[in-house]
Amino acid sequence: MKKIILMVLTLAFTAGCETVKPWERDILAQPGMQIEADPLDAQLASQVYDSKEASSGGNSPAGGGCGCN
Amino acid sequence: MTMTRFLYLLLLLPLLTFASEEPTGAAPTFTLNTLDGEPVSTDSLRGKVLYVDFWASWCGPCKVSFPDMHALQEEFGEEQFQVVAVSVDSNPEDARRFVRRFEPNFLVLSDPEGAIAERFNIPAMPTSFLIDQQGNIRHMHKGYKPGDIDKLKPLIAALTGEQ
Repeated sequence: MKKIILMVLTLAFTAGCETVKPWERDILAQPGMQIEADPLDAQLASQVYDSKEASSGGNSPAGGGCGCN
Repeated sequence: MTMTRFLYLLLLLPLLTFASEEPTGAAPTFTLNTLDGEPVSTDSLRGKVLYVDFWASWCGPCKVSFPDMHALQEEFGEEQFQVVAVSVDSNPEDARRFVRRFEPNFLVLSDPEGAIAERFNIPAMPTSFLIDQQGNIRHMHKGYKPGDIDKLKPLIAALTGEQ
């Protein structure tokens, strides 16, 4: 039982990890911080990937980066 | 309390971190500089209905909200109503560049450290608060999309009509 309690407590604490506040996304929102720096290049890569896989979608989560919704 | 119940309660604890509350009560008062460096205190605006909007130059929906805030200020006048747009840009020059495109007819203040945003505990960008003549938060508006101005107008009209 002690092990279970320890595990649950660990889970509870990891859920409390520090997150970036909406007003602190200044630098993170800059174009240079994007994983895909060039949208055209990303679109092309996605096109090639989709045609090779014969399926599309599921590449990224929905929603923007500014925490508006 | 049985051990199972205790464990269930413990599992529910992380969910509390997602709980959010509609803010009510007295709005934090603050003094911030305009983008030209002139200090403005919300105490000097007491008696007016305030629309305090937290925005940033890097926030897409803020580009939609700026013309609407301009329209709100124009429609309700300055006697009873004031739009206070608080920029959270860490570099005020970014805010200046943004504002130059819109030439707003309302107050634009700078909060580069995000200290006031933190006191209001804003949940998203942009977030705006409607504050009544007594200085109480009466409504919070999260995000911004075209058409939101139509939801805000009756709320502002009701608050400016209060004695």
